[in-house]
Amino acid sequence: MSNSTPKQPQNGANGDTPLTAQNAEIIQLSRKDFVSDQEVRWCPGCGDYSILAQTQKVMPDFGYPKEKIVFISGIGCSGRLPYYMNTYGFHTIHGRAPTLATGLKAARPDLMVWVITGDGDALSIGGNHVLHSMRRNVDLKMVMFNNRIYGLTKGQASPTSEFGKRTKSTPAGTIDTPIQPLTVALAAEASFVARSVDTHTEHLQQTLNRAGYHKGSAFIEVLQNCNIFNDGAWRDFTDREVRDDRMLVLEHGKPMIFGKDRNKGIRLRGLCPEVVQLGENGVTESDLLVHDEQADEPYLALVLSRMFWPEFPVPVGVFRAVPRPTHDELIVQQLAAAVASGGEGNLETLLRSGETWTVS
Amino acid sequence: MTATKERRVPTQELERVTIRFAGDSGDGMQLTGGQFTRTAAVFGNDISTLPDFPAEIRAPAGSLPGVSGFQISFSSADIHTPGDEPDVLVAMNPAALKTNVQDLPAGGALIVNSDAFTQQNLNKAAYASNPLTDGTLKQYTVFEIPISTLNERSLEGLDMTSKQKDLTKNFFALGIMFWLYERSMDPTIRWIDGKFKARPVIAEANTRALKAGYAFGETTEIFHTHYRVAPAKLPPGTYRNITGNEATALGFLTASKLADRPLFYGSYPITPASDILHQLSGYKSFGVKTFQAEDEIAAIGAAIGASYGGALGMTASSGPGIALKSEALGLAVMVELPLVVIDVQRAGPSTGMPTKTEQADLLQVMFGRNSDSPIPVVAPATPGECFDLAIEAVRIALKYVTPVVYLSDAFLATGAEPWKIPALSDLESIAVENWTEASTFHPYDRDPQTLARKWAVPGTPGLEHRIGGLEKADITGNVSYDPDNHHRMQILRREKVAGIAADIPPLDVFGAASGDLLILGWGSTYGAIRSAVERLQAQGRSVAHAHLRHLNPFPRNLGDVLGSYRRVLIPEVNLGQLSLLVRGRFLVDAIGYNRVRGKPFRISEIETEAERILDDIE
Amino acid sequence: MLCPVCRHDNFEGEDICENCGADLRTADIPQPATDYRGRLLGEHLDDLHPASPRAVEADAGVDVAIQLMHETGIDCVLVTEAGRLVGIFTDRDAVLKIAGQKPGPRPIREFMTRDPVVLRHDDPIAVAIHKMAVGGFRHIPIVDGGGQPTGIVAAKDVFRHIAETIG
Repeated sequence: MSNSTPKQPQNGANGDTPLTAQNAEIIQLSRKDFVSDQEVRWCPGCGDYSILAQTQKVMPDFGYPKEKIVFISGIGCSGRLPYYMNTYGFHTIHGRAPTLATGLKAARPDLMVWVITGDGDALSIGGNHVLHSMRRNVDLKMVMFNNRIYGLTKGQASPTSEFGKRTKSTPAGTIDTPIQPLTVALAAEASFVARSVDTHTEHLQQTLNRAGYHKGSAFIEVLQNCNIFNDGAWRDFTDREVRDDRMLVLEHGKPMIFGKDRNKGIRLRGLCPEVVQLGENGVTESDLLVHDEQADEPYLALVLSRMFWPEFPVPVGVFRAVPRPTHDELIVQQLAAAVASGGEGNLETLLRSGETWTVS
Repeated sequence: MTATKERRVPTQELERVTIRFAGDSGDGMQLTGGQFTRTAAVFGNDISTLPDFPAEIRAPAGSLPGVSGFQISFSSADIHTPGDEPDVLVAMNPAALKTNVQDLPAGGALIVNSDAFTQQNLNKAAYASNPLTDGTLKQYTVFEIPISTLNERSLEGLDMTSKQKDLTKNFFALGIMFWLYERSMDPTIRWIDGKFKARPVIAEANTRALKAGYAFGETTEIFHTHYRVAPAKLPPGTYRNITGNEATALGFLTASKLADRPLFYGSYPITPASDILHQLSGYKSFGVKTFQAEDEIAAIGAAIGASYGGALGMTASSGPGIALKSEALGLAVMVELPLVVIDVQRAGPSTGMPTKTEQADLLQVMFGRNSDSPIPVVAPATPGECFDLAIEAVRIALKYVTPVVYLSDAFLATGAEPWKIPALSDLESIAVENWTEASTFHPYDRDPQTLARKWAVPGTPGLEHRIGGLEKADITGNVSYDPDNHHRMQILRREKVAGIAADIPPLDVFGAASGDLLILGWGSTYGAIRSAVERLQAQGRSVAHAHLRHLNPFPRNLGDVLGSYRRVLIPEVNLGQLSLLVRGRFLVDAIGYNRVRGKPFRISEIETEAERILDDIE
Repeated sequence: MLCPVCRHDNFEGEDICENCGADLRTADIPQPATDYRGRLLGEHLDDLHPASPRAVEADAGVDVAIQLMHETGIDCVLVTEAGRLVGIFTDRDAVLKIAGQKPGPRPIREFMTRDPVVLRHDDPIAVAIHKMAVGGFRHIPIVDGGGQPTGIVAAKDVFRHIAETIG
């Protein structure tokens, strides 16, 4: 099985060198380059189409050559996404995409790895792997499509379904308290945590862009609408007419202001957030919480992750973005340190190490 | 040194001796056994060892679960097992005696540290009366030696506490054994000097204790003979002692170098495979990346991801962990990526007996996945072969772009034998190239000879493609639900694995090419079977031995070999798994000899069963 | 954890020292609360790390000895003749035998306790305690085979050992 063209370094000859702005070739790609030849088969009206489009639009931003980008997915409707991206892709098994991504990134730090998952794939069967890939700070960008339902298997409750949700598998209503993805990601020490919405195209692009540039684990919850099995799950606040009043767009360093007229804000009362009207009761901008993505401890991000409609506007944007060495970086460092202290390993010497004797 | 009495003690020549050292934590039996082994090996005997670790991580001193043992068999002939039972049992305390004496045959020699037989220790060992005095040991030849006292006396004048001195009594015991078996103390003394350079008092103490033990053996009147076991005729070369797990780790490191692919090892701690992770994680200067995953599934997932990226992805576990990995193994079969999965088998089912050996995962690795999901399987037969089969497993994985299972077991993992260190220049490259040519590339287009798919790795320009667990169209690799396509792909995947048979050596037979009885084995039963067959052949019986290293596919002549004997016996430490495969595939009425006691077979039991069958034929 | 034999730093919980193969399994478990008496029987005077003794020749003046004891803060000196131990002189001897008398250049030989009870370095601690209890003294010299003093064990050494063991 040989070939005649010049050999690319396979697998790892320069695989350990992460791709950076300095060593990336300047590539001019466009969205079209990332569209694969496969016909997209999601249900008409599915939020996934929008997510796919924004993802394709954003890929050229990073200056990576196409062949250096890999999409790894689990099982679910979200799992189909790699087939529609004209990059390297791997549609793996339910819940385990982060594990393959971890191994791939460890072996090939030069690649950009995206993990596409859903609320069931990531938080049910895959919960453990999300926990560990985040705490290891594996340099992967995990986009979790949260539609509060199991779509592919036709409509069972998911770990994010609301309490009492009636579905095919829970006709009397769910009895499990739903889990909050961003709280989980923050608890798992994720170094980048964000939320966006499938149809908020600009915002989603910006969020994906930020995630791509983040060095380390990036967890993005995308509120996605499954119009067949759970239509309107987020509509109460994501709809175009109401979103300005019911969602809080986070910006680092800026006070938390929302509302169509930019006249409402969030301040802290004790440990809890509180919605206030600017101008009423002497409340001014200086009373408001100022967003800080870069705080060492995620107290603020955790508070934001506990703000739910209708008590609060739903925060979107980057909750947290802190620098931390990545998993693959630390592995390479240890290898380099071993060589620095003891020289490169010599196999002949190793085989003959310990106590040997000769028979003549 | 005190003056020694002039004694002439006759020397008896023996072909083989098996010694078991048994004692408590603090008695240093692993070290004693290890030193004796080394000395015997350096002298030129063939050796085989089996350590017996305590059941508990820590146990109170003198208690039964704290006993650890070390059995070494050494010989002037080529031996294959650590011995069915010991000729000599060295018991350093009552608990060690209690747990081991039943393995000593009548007439065997029993050397005890009489100082340790205090009332307190007898109580801890649940002895109602002192076995040294109540007559229960009369069928053995008992040597009561106050090892602790004599040892302490020999260290008089040294600036050490009593406790420190007591820790050296294992060297005293070793010295006695060296005298008894005419071994030189020099290798051990050199070892002591090397290891304790920084602590000359300890070095002095250990050396004195060793020499005092030797002198004791020489001067005491309790030993009437000492023994000599002549060197064996081993092939010339440089040797070292190696355990199966050590050979496995070295083998896969070497394989990665021969394949010119960096090694990525993902695993989760599990007895008895954890040591492979420990050893490989010490090879950072070789570029080996090891990863302790959060669970078994993450371990294999990471290995698959690494292989996907073009590295040599590997994972290891034991029975329960392999069960967890089955879905991911199926993914590797469907996407067709190279991967090596090591199963160091242990007694099951479920948690089973984690430190005891068994070879009962064969059917699991052959079939334990949904649908028809064929995977090549290899199994080393001895600790040294763990190295060779590691290279073979990687060779198959890369050449056929397939996952491969490597079956080891707890007996191989911890047992040791001398290993002739290969010269790297003698080992062939097993490197394969990834596809880089865009115009002719389809991910599931195959090499016509091996049926291996064209394997391209991420980072290769122009070859962007997607793979996954869904069924895919032949050649293009696009998701396909076409009925005929699925049938064709299943056949292709089966044929790819079956075709490996053309690429592996034919099965070798030890003995005549036809006859009355063939004993067929796999894995660590090699030693006992080979020894039994040697003995039977020496008696003129018509018996031969064949041992499989490739379990899937079988060597292409296996059917013919089976057909050349009137009976086929398949001894296995399981309830009949290879038997099932052989019977089903070849319609041969193979006879199973199946014992699952968590221990390797004794030579005598294979011999007895073979004789029973042979006598029955006549 | 450090190997008790070769001091190599092993990972915690290792069964066998990576360097010298010594069994580590007794070194890292809390010792069972054994009979304290049993321990004393098992332990030797070496385990108390007895101090090196101060010795003066039998002919030396007692005032010199007392001055020495005062300056160095010790409460007991050994008295030797040609290197061999012949007596012991403690602060109690000073109080009982000398106080009230005119001190002068009288040899210490006249005030010492002759031929004191002695022990060997590897005698059990229990024996030392027993002797001190029976004889009512607080110091016992340690001598070697030739009668040369090699150490001195005091009641306060035993007390310290008890405190360390129980604490």
